[in-house]
This record gives sequence, C-alpha cells and structure tokens, in this order.
Amino acid sequence: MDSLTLVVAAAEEGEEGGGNFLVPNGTFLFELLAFLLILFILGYFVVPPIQRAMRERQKMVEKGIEEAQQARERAEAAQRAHREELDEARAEGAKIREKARAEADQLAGDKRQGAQQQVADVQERGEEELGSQRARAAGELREQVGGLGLTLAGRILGTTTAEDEQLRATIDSFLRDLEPATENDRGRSTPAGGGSG
Amino acid sequence: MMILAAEEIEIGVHPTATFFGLTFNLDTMLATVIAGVLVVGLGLFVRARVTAGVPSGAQLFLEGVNAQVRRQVEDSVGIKTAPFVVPLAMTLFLFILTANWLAVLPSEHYVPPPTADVNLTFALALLVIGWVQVTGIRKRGAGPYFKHFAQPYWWLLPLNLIEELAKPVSLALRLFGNIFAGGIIISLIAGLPAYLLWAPTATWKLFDLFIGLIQAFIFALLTVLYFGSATSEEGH
Repeated sequence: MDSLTLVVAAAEEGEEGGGNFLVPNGTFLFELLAFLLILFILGYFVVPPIQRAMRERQKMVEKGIEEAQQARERAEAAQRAHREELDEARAEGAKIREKARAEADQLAGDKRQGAQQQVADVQERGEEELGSQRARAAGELREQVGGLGLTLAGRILGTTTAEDEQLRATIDSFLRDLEPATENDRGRSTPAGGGSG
Repeated sequence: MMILAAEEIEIGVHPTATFFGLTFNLDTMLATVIAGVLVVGLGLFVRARVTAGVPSGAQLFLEGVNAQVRRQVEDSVGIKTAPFVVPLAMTLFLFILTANWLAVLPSEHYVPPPTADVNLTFALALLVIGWVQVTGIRKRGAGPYFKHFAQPYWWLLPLNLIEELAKPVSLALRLFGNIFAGGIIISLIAGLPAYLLWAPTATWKLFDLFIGLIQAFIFALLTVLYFGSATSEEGH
C-alpha cells in the first residue's frame, strides 16, 4: 500500500519537478544515441563476421556431405565394376573350358578319323599290292602256262624251234583272247592255280 | 520497519542532472551504459574469436539469435527487400534483453533496468517506426505509400492513421509497462518482513527473467513485422 502511494507520489513529485515520469525528457536523446552507437558497432563489426562464419560452416557441411556422397558413389561403382569383372572372368573361364572341350573333341575326332584313314590307306595299299602281286603272278603264270603249253605241244607234236615260235604266238593269242572273258573266274581260281602251279 | 523498506525504493523517481536546459535521468543512463557495454562486449568478444569451425558458446548464442531473426525477416519482409532489418532486430533483442535482465540484480536503487524508463522505450520505438516509414516510402514510392492509408476505403483514413500512431506508443509502453511493473512488484514484496522476503523475491525475479526475455522477443518481432507490413505491396 505504501509502495503504491509512493508510485503515485513519485509521479506527482516528478510533475512538480518539471515532468511526469511517463513523459520523456532529455534522457531520450541519450538513449537514442546510445542505441544507435550499439547498433552501429553490432551492425558493422559483429553481425557480418558471424553471418560469414555461418555461411562458411554451411558451405563446409554441404561440401562434406557432397564428398561423402561422391565417395559412396565411387565405392558403389567400384563394387559394381568388380562384380562385373568377376562375372566376366567367370563367363570367360566357362567359355575357355567349353572351347577346350570342343577342341579336345575335335582333336579326338580328327585323330580317330586320321587313324581310320590310315587304316583305310593301309588296307587299300595292301589290297593294291595284293592286286598287283596277283596280276604279276597271273602274268607269270600265263607265261609259264604258255611255256608249259608249248613244251607240251612240242613234246606231243615234236616240232622245231622255228615252229615253236609260231606255236607260241598262237598260244599267247589264244590265252589273250581267253583273258577278258574269264577274268572273274580266273581271279577266283588263280590263287588256287598259282598254289598248285 | 515496513515503512522504511518501502521508502527506500523510489519508483519512477530518478536522480537527475540538467544540461543545456534538458533533464537527464542519471540512473537510466548508467544502466544503459552497463547494458550497452555488456552487449557490445559480448559482440566484440565473439568477433575476436569467430570461427567457421566449432563455435564457442557465446558465438553459438549469437548465431542462434541471428538465424532466428533472419528466418523471421525472410518470412515477413524478405532478406533482399530489407537486409538491414536483421542487425537492427538482433541489436534490439540483445540490448533490450540485457537491459531487462539488469532487473535481476539486487541493485534497483542504482541501476534500475533502463527499459523501465519511457525515455529508452520511446527512443527505440520512435527510431523503429521512423525507420519503418522511411523504408515504406523508399520501397513503394511516396505517393502509393501515403495513399495506402486511405485504402481500401477513404473513410478508413482516420482509423489507419490512429493505427499507425498507435504502433510506436504501444511498442514503447508495452515494454516500459512490463518492466516497470516488475519494479513495482519488487517494491511491494519489499514491504514483507525480512524473514519472509527472500522467497517471493527469488520467485518474482525468476519470473522477471522470463518476462524480460518475452518482452525483448516481442519488441524485435514486432519491429520485423512492421517492416514487413510497410514494404508489402498489398498493404494491410
């Protein structure tokens, strides 16, 4: 209660002393200048460096985030490349294996074919040789048959050597005429004949 | 005893001095200087050690205030429209907060919070409103700016003018009234017997801290909003 009356009394007192305390006095100018000074100091010397520091920090943080993201992307790319390379290598390995198997098959086939060919060649050559031996044998046989026939005819007929020549030609021509017609028969009979001859 | 305690506290009475025919309240001026030195000291302290790396506590505090004010200015005015509002509102907030919090010190006789003196609050309010008007005229041109007082209808002119005049008065008296009332409450509590005195005093001073913060915030916020309404195209 006393305080309240004091407030009122103070206000009245102030009025008597030249002004109500709700009415500004000369202090107003001091306060205005003081605030403008504080505003000047803060506005020119304090706020700009703080804002600069905040901007720089923000930039740093953004850069950090960006770098982290880039690093992650790089790591992912490397991992992807690694996996791709691994897959590729695996595929290549499979291909090489496949190729080697195919080559081995091919080689085996070739070898088998070569062997068969060789067998066939050997067989053919043998047959050819056989054929030529047979032909030679047949020729010799014919010769001998001709000689034998001549000798027999000479013994039977008692002819001379000059007549022999004539006779021999006759026999040979006979045999030659005989040959184409009886070739197949002879082919079968000759070995037997050769064996007996 | 009670009377003595009450008599020690003089509300609204200042030791004065007269220069050039003007009266100056010495205690308000001293408290203003103290608050100003604290604010400027904090600012220069932070400036000397400002870093883009890990900030100190003081720098973090100023950065927080700066970010908050910036966001508010961006939302209501636009940083590009009036970038100078950021340091203005920031300084208002810091200075008023420091001045208000001087009330917590048990030194009411010598350094009362300077915001409990209309000289300070009117000085700040008139500075702000004058600046707002100048900014409005600059951004919109004198013609459109003064015409918008007669909008949307000409007969609203008196109401608009009263609203405009009420701005500095309400801005100044709101701050003054809240902090001055804090002093009155303390002087009322001082009437209690000494063995009871400490509990309500401590409680009230804690609450006064809160009031001081709120009032500083409101003053700075209203400053930003007034700039916003003066520079906006659609008027109000």
